[in-house]
Amino acid sequence: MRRYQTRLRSIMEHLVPGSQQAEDLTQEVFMRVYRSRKTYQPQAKFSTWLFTIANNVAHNAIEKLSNRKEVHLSETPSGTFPTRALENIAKDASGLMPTRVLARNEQAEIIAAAIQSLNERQRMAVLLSKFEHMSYVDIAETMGLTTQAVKSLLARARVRLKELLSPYMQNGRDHFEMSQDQGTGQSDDGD
Amino acid sequence: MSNKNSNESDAEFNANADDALLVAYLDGELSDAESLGLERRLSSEPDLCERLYSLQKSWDLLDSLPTKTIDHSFTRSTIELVIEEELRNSRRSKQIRFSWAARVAAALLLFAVSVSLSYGYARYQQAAPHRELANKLEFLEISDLYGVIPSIEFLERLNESGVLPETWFRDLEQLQEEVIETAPQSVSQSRQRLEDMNMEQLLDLRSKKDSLEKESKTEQVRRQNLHLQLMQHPQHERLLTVAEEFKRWLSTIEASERIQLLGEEDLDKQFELIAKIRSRQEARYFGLVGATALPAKDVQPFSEWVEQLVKLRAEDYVNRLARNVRQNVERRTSERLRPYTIFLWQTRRLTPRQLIDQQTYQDMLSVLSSDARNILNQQEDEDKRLELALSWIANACRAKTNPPLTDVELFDYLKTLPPERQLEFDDLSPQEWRQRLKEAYYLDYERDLVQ
Repeated sequence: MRRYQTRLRSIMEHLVPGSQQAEDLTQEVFMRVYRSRKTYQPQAKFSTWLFTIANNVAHNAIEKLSNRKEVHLSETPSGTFPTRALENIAKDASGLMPTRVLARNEQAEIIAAAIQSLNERQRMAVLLSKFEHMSYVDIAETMGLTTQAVKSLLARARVRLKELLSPYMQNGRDHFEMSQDQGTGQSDDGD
Repeated sequence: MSNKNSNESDAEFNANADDALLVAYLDGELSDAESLGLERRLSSEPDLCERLYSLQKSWDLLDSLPTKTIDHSFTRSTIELVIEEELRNSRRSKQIRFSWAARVAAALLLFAVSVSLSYGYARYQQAAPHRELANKLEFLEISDLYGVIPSIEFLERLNESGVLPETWFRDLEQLQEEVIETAPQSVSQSRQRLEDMNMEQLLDLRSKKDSLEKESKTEQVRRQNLHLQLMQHPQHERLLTVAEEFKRWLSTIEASERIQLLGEEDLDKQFELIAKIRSRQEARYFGLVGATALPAKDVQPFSEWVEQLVKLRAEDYVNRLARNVRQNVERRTSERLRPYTIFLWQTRRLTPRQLIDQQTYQDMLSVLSSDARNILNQQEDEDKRLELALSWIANACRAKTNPPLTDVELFDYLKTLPPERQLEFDDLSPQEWRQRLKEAYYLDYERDLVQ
């Protein structure tokens, strides 16, 4: 459990709103793993099994949430939960650029918003690929899709991320790099 | 003007294909040959190289997201939850053990008395709600199902229409065994079933009861009436399975489609919507079944055209079938999906020229976009063009009869093949492996249906 809890919670945080809910769902995943431990087949990868359960738990939670709130699906591609639009965050930040580079927390907020602007399936595929380093075959098994579908899902998601994040990585050395350099240089002023 | 549009669409199509290739390359998912091919292109195409660089760069940015560590209390509380559940699970089988040691006998006796009293009190507390659960068990177990079923007429029509995917109904008998206990039960039988339930089943039942109670009184009464009507229906087992299947199907459609469908009150309009959603679903599946070069925008119109074509030809093909094959097909497939199965069967027996005459080919071109027509025109000769067109038609038929296959299903299928056939799939690149195995699977599947 210790091996997976932080990783699982990080993924949940990008899938559902609020860190408390992410923690509750992480706990729910472990409870389900415990309950269905007898059905686990040792020849299957444990991580694939665990994230399949996580995918189901997150999907159910998102669906419940969207049913409850009757959200307007056209407004967010994910149709999941209202989030601070990337455009707004970017607008806030652009007022400060390029004279002031983005602070580390703004950077994280923009990246997180970019991830949240993906639809539910793209987001899950990105998280499994990026943070769990899963192969397309494993992602397909976890999400119940074909490998071909995962391939196009990830391609679309990464192109979208590139489009959203490209304003922050122009002119060779991007604003994020500068921000990170400043972070490591113990200065957060950014001027 | 149209040339300009066509060039733009070509460029967009190529850019999408390149992006998929670049991403798979970055993820190490290309075969050696594919990687080599791409690396050659990268060395001569600076734009492509730039796209690869920005894809990697934006991907690397994700590494800078902070990771919050979970504190010790989270681990502890999860473990406590697990222990609590385990204790609850074992409560029934728990036996009180008496110690033989006389010096603690008095203390143990006292403990046993208090345990008995607590247990008795707990049973007393539980008895009332359990009695209620037992009385309504049959209804409560499926009360959530009635939430998505507007009326008995709807279920009857759903059963007759056969609009839901064929493969699901093929498992009908198996589902009937595992899903629902439908025979009317006495309260004592229900009580016994309640006693036999494990904690998870009980919690599930409780949560169904709670959600039912959250519904308005009118809705609760409607569901109860629907239940009574269904239980008295001569085909109640079949209709219950259809209801389960409908609920399962609802979970496979988009949330916006679901909201629209459940919000519609007119029966005819509901079925129009179901047919529309099914057609969209089939078109999506068509994009996933097999690796065809048909552009995504062509999938839906092409799929609709195939539907017309197959319906027109079906009767002719049926007459050409041997009697025993015809009987098998009629017995094993539903009326709606039979033409597709027969058409697929014929694609293995007749040549593309026999199946696609000049008129049909022209009709097909008229529904295709210029991009799709270009793909056909790029083929070496007419035989190759017809071969490709036939593979599109066959895939559209398969999308209507089969859901897409996962790699796990492909592995399972591979294991069922005799060793000499398994050898045929060795030494193939992963992409070829999937494609060839998928083709073999569908051919076997279609052969099973007719033989």
